[in-house]
Amino acid sequence: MNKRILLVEDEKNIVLGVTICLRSAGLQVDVAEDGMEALRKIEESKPDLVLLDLVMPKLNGLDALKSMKENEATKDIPVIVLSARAQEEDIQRAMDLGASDYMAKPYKPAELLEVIMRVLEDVH
Amino acid sequence: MHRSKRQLPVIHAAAVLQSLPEGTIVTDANATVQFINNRAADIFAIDISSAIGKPFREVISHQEINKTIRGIVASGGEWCPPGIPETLNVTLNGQEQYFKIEVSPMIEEERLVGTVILLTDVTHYERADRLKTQFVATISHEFRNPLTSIVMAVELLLDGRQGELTQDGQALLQAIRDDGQRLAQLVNNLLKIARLDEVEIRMEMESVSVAEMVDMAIEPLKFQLKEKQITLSKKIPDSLPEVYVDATKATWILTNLVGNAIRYTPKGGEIIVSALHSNMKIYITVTDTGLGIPVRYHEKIFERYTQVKGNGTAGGAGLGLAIAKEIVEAHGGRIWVESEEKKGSCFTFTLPVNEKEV
Repeated sequence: MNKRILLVEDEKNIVLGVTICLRSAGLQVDVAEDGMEALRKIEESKPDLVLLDLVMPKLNGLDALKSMKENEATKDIPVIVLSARAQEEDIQRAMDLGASDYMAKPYKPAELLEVIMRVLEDVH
Repeated sequence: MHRSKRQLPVIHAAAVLQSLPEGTIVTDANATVQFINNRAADIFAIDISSAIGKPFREVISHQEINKTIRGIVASGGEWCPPGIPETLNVTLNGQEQYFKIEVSPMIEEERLVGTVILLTDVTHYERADRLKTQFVATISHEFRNPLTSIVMAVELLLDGRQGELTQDGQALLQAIRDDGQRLAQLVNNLLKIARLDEVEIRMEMESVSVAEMVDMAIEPLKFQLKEKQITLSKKIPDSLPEVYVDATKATWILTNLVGNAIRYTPKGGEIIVSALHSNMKIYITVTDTGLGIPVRYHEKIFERYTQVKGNGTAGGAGLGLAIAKEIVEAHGGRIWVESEEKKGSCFTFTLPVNEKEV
């Protein structure tokens, strides 16, 4: 289906696993390692979906999410938040800011792909 | 000079009580307030002169203290209160402070002459406890990142698309997957226990068969059982009624108990999981032929962060049994151990029967 996914994650080993998982499902993957880089790449390349970690250097995930949702050019790009912070208040904040879905770490490849496919389908 | 039988002259008693760092209140045998030191007056924000001579319950409305005083008075001082579990939380000079409350009968010549209410400042301990709770929460968040890459990597390797695996390779990856899941569950439970004081455990109750629960519980431990050549036998009567429980949590208790049994049982040992029904309760017992637990630890092992010293095996975080106890108690049950050193241990817990079935 050739969809382009931007993975925003600073943990190299997670990047490795998620990248292999997404590629094996026929998705294209680009990576940003912090919130600033993420905003730049989202603006430049307009991915079909963003996978966003919350705890990151420079600009954290919730702030990055807020910025991209406030930007007319990027506000319709769906975002799935992937985070170690699984408390209900974090989920609520991310959803209030416009995230499409939320996955608590650790997640399995099949679960991740299922949510990605569902969100991509909802958009189109 | 005449010497009183009392150890201290009466005239000094008030000065002694006044100088105590603890808040102190004394009543007579009818629960009428006789003495309040300045510290207690500050804690309860009461005026000493107008409180003296009044019934205690009119001066201080704290339910637990009043109930305890009533108990002591009614029993003539025979009843010794087990202590008041909740701490008193007050704001003094703009700072939040916590006090432990103790109420004791005051006995003179074998007769109840009054009660003493003592308030000890435990703010320091409360703060330390909160820091510990925050620490546990932070640590369990930190565990999630490495766990994510482990879970992802193992699943991707096991699905075979990265190349064929030998049978041993498959078994090894399976072991990483099983333990990864156990760790993930432990991390979730750590978070749960860190928030237990604030939030009640949320229970999703359903009716399940004990035999099924036992099978599910030992599934992730099969590899370890085989490796240590431990025989696990089940003694569960077919006629056993189903239990009404949160199945995931109750199964977790069993996995934890059997996991402990494997860890502390030498190679070639035996573990028995048995269940019986009595008085609307199911008693589930995990017996092993392991190292056993010294008597002095029989109660303590159910407290958080307790490890039995000198058993010579790698220990866990000392949380498993504490979580198990919280879960059992959330079901209205009880958990305990009977054990003799070098002979083995026998852990029993109770779960409620599904009443519709009986």
